[in-house]
Amino acid sequence: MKYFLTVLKANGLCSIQDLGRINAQHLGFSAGGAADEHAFLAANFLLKNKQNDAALEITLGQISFRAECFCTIAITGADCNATINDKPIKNWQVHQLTSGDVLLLHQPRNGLHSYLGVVNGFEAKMWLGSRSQTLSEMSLGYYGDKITQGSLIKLSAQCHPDGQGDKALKTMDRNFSHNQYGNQVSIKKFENFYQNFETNFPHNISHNKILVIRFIPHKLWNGISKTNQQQFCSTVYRVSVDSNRMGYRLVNEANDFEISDHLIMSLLQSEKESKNEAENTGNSTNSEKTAKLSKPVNYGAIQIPENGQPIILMKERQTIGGYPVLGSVIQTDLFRLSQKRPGEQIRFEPLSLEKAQQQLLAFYQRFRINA
Amino acid sequence: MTQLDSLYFIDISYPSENSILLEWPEKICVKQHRQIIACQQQVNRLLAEFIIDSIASYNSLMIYYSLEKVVEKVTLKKFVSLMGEIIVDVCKLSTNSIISGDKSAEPGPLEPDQLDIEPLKIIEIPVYYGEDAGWDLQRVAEQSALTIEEVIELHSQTTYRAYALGFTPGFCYLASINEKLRHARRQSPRVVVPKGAVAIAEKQTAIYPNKSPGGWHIIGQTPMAMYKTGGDPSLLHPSELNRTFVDDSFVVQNHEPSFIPTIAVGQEIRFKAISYQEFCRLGGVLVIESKSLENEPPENQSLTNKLQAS
Repeated sequence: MKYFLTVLKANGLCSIQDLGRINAQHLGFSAGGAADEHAFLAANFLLKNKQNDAALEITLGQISFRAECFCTIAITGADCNATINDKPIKNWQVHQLTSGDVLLLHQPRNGLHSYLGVVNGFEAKMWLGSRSQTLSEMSLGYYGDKITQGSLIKLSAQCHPDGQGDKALKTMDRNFSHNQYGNQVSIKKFENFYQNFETNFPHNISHNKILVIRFIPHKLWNGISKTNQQQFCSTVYRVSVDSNRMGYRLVNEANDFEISDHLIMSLLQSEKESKNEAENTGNSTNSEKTAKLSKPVNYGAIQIPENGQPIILMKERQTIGGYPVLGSVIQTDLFRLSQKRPGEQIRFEPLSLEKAQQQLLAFYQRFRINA
Repeated sequence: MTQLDSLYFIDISYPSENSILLEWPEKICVKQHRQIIACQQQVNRLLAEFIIDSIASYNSLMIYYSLEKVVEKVTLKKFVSLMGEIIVDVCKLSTNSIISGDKSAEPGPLEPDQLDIEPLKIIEIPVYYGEDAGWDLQRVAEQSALTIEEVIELHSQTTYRAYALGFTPGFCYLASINEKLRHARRQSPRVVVPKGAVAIAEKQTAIYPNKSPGGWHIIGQTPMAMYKTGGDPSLLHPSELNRTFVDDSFVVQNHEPSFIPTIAVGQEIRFKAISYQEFCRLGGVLVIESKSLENEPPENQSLTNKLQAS
């Protein structure tokens, strides 16, 4: 018996993702991981999976699969008007596929990333504690091949009864017996497992015209004038076409370079002052005074390069960077931002560190009650 | 925060929900960097339960922690004060001025054995500095008003320190190169720099671990690999083990291939000039600059391509 999905057609981007390589940055690797953790975790939640079970991240839909075995899936994130054998199915919902079923995802009208989860996750090579694929490192050969037409995507060994996972087997035992796997009786039992499960899972795809993203201000922010702070927060930015999983580049909506100029001047001034302060306490030599040293950069850092157009660092960011950093977008808003497409609008709003931490804790708490 | 306040030369900030950034004065300085690495090792060791990852750079140390674990087990305030104590302890070993508040004092030399940390060996990296290997060697010599031989000598006579890892996996920033060799990056970066290229830019030198784009001046090529994968996980230091999420929390695990960079941040490095024959004997494959390499298009991951295509 074959335990996988076959990719029949693929036009958008598709990769295997989990929560990422959480301690690989000291080796120079980006953290990677699912762009929209909300939708990713929701897929695993609906399937009663572990939080970190691998799912497929599908960008801009346009992909179809054929199930080669019976399996239970969940689709979350951007709504791709998915169909099973041409019959429309609901997003943020658990579905069952039997061998030969064709699952088709169209291009979504709103949002960017959709997640296709499966009971106990997809199987993929583990690398640095994660199954996430990073496109820019694909050529180094640490992960399975890029997902394209004809790819066979393996379901976790724990997904089927003859697999190795003890814990999963126990779960399975509750629902159907091994030798009956695949026949009507066991599937019915399996269906009961998910019966009446809440399907109206709250989603985080924003339909608002302008997405307000909150950020934790850094030292540089406090160094710029009140006027500049107000200007930054009242400016409507558009997501640039150069955005990707590494970073979201923003362009000033009004293309008002005067504001950007003010901002960058103000930033440079603020940076200079903090540097002078540091030098007064240290013992730098003259030749080292102009040096701008690269520092580690976090997920969500708002970099301001010389053209004044902010870049927000996303999951596949570099580990260190040299641009001035104004603040850090809070993680729960980064998940929302990751669903924004080039051309869509956003605006910034400051938030205290404490409130941001509460938001994040509450976010993960929601996905916990799954044991 | 009272503990850390006594360290006037370290600036502490909280860039995101689950990170702490420590910044030392803006300078490339061996003593200071030793202190940063010692702090990193001690924090990783003593607070392993909470630390997810930590990244050291020239004058900074970023510490990522598990917000959930910290809040659940010790509270944030306690965690920060625990970390403060560790850092103050490390710095006290090397700085006498903390208590006196003498602002002119610099962190003194720090012996790793004081902290029960194994000192790192000096690595010698063989480099073939031929003009066919050093694509920019001639130009660097001209710009520095030196002969090629002098450039090679200046580059290989210095002992460098690894200040940071980044850019691509295994890419280590080494500093500082001789003042005569300091030049700004190339105006336009090359689309392809070969694997093993030894290059310089401003105060730094580095080895490209893999074929990649790059804007540094290539002055030679090394046959030495800049990282290896796999190996016996039981020989790894706890901080080198992989962490992964299991049941809502991260756990340390070591039963899968690991990435081991040849140069660790904080390690010292020397370059040794070798002949072409020696380069080949060590398994080097010389890459000569060619126009066809330059024309190879980079992989485009932009979302727009997909939007336009659809």
